[in-house]
Amino acid sequence: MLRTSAAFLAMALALSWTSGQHADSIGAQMVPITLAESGGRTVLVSRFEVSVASWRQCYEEGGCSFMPNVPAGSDAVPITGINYFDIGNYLDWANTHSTRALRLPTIIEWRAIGPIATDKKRAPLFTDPRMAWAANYGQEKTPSGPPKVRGSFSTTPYGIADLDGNVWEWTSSCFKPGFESDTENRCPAFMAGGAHEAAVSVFVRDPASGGCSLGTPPAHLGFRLVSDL
Amino acid sequence: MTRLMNSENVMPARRNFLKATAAATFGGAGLVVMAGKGIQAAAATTTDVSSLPRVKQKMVAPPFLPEHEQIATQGPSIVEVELIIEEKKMVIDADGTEVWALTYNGSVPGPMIIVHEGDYVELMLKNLATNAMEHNIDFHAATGALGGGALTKVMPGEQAVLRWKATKTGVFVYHCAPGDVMIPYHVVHGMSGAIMVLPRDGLKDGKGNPLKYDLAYFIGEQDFYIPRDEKGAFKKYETAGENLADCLDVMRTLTPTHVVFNGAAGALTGDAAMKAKVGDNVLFVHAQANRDSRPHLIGGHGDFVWETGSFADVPATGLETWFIRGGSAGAMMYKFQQPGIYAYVNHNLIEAVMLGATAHVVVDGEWNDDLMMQVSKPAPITG
Repeated sequence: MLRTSAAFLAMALALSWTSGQHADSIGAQMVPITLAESGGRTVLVSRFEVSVASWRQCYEEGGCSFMPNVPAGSDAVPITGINYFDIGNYLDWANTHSTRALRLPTIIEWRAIGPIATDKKRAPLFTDPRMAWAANYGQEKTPSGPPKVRGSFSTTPYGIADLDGNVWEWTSSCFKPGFESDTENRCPAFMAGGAHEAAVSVFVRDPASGGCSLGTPPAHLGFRLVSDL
Repeated sequence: MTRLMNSENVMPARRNFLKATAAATFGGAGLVVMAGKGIQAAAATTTDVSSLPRVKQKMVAPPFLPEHEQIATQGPSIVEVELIIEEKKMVIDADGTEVWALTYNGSVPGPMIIVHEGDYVELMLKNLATNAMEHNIDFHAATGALGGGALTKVMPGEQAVLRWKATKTGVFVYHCAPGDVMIPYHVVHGMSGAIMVLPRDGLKDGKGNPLKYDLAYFIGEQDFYIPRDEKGAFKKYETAGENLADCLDVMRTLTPTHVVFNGAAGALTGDAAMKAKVGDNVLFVHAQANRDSRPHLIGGHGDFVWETGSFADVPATGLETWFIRGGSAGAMMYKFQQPGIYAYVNHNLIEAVMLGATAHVVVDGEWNDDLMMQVSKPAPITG
């Protein structure tokens, strides 16, 4: 359930981005969010993660070359099972329909879009710095199950839904600095925001579940659009 | 013992369907009996069991083991155990995939039973009246009557008692074997467990030195074969047995959809991970009633491994990976040397990571720089 106040909703509608016939399926319902963490800058943030319906449109129009295998009747479910390159295709396509520059948020922006209700952080399992590799074991909760219709999880007071859902959201931030301007040494993994943050390899579409690595992997990978005002 | 036989003449119609395939089985079973015809029965040592002490063993859910002595402090006993068969819906992965599990005592795998060589296991087997199917139990550690399977066939609402003598030491699978295709069907729906028959004087290293464990865990590995709908999604069913035709098709591919420890992907991870301390000698019993497996402890080793499960054999030492034959259990003992997280996997890594066969051990203690240290942290390549 959206808990946006009427006044806020009015502002959101006034500022909502439209682009002719594709507005509803690409980037409609964007909400201006002032990001204190980014020096008070305001960006437009999609209420919801990008849907299966929007992705299918991109695929059918030839913008997206990959269509994940999704169950019938899931048009209103977030698109998942897509990697960083797939999203690049989508953004190129979406921006041909848009007067705005749609993009992924940075991880700094993603954190500021919240807040989301996070689990109370327990004490680290190990405090010895040599045990840092194992210190966070069992601390990360992963909402599981199949992707659900958009809006099934929490909504922030500003009307942004599902930040705490079982779909992790790709960001444009490399997992460690130093790759941004280096064309020879491209970033191998980007941060994904979700119930806990994860560094995800650029080519991964379906993060393994229950694997032998220690960190809890994201359940599903999707994304949310933002745009500068 | 005739009173222990099932009462086929009073089966309700619904149960006849599930029973139908089982009737054919006894033909197959008969061949086994025929093969042994004419062999003179060896003069078995008989004991006056009425004079033996009786001990009740309280079953606990895996991965834990019931209270037991590693070295027997008294002579042979009759160890009374009770297994209650329950057909129940269980969730087997994080996506909510369901199976109507066929269980002993409500868990997959069924509970570990522990006795010493020369003890008698006296099993009370109850098939709840709310169940739909006929069940029984075949102990690989027992001698005769198809491991007891022929004497324990119980319809819903029935119970039977079986007593058998533990003459072989080691770890052994037990499983349901009601007949024909229902044998693999029941086993791939969770209906197996294990029994450990310890030597009366405990485990040995093969050179006469005793081996004692501080902790022990029972890891039952389960392969599931979940049917999919036309869209590729795992199907759900309203009742136990309803998936029979669909499931047999998946089973025929010999390709499981899930391979898990303790009944579900992730069941022995996170808050439910196994625990130990540096210096603990930990015994891991690994059972797989149907399919080969290859356990491996990532970051550790198998100090002593009874790969085939027989404690009469000398354990292998210092192994990286060991083999569990489908239809058997094996045991491994390891003394943890470093704190941290260990992954206990089936080292077919596709099965470990994609199908679910991963467990974790959280080990507390002091890190040993001599065994390992990070000399420099990951950083850009400089030369």
